Amino acid sequence: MTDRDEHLDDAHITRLRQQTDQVPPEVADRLAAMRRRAVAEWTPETPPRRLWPGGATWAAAAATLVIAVALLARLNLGGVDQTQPAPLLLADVDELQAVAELDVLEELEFLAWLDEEPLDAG
Amino acid sequence: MISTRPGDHGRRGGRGEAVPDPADMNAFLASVEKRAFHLARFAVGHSDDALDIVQDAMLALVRRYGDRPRDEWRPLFFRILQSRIGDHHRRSSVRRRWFGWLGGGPDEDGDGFDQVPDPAAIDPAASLDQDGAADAVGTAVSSLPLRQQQAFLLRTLEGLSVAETAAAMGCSQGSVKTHYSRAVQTLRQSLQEHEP
Repeated sequence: MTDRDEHLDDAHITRLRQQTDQVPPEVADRLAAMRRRAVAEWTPETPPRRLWPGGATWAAAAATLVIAVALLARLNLGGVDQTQPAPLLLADVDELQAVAELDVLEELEFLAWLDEEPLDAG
Repeated sequence: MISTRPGDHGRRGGRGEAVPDPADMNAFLASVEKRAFHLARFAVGHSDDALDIVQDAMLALVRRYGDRPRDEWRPLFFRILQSRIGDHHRRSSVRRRWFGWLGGGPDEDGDGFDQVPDPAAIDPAASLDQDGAADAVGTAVSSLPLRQQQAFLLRTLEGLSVAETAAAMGCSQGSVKTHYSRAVQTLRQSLQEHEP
């Protein structure tokens, strides 16, 4: 392909440039007004650009989604391992509490017995 | 005019670049607004639509990229402009589809823009030349398929490189070369009788 094929004739380009460098007065006025309006939106202290627009929102949404998926996977896919001891339930708490009370009672009995024993018995 | 202010160094990654100010932006927009208007008008065929597109592009540049170095404004502005032109044609395409009186096939970029006859071709003489005399070059450019037309105008009028044009049009550099080459061929055929 020759250079002549690659480029349009200079005269046409010049004509086109002349044509596109001009606009009717009313269009020029509107363009100037648009430009002023756009420049007026310039804020001197432009906030620093974030890596992601609304990054915190996206991060929170992503974290929530990951947690939800993990919980669903645990509940639906993971099943319950029967070889492991059952998790601590409320009933177990009651039982533990009863054992603690028993310890206290035993301690009281021991103190009473100690009180009754002569001091030089040991 | 490029200003440097104390304390600005490091705000952009410690490179110590000059920080543009509103006067810079005003000067930049003034330098591109007329050609941007013509670029949009060639693409959409109506002055009012073209002005809307240019206004959107100006606002988007200031709001989103005003803090970028001035060197980046030109490719960014024309990228936004092309995006707005694309949006306009998509909306028009949807409207036409609803009315069911215009179809089109996909081009090599798959968006069908190559096949969309430019609305400016409806009456280019009236819209191109304020004196009422038809201009052959403008008419021929108006009649080009959109992608060819924009590649040609960005390369020829704006002087963007192939890479910058590709970035502005959102396509590959190979596509830009193809569009440009086809545009030149078509224009040469159209303007044969007007060859100097």
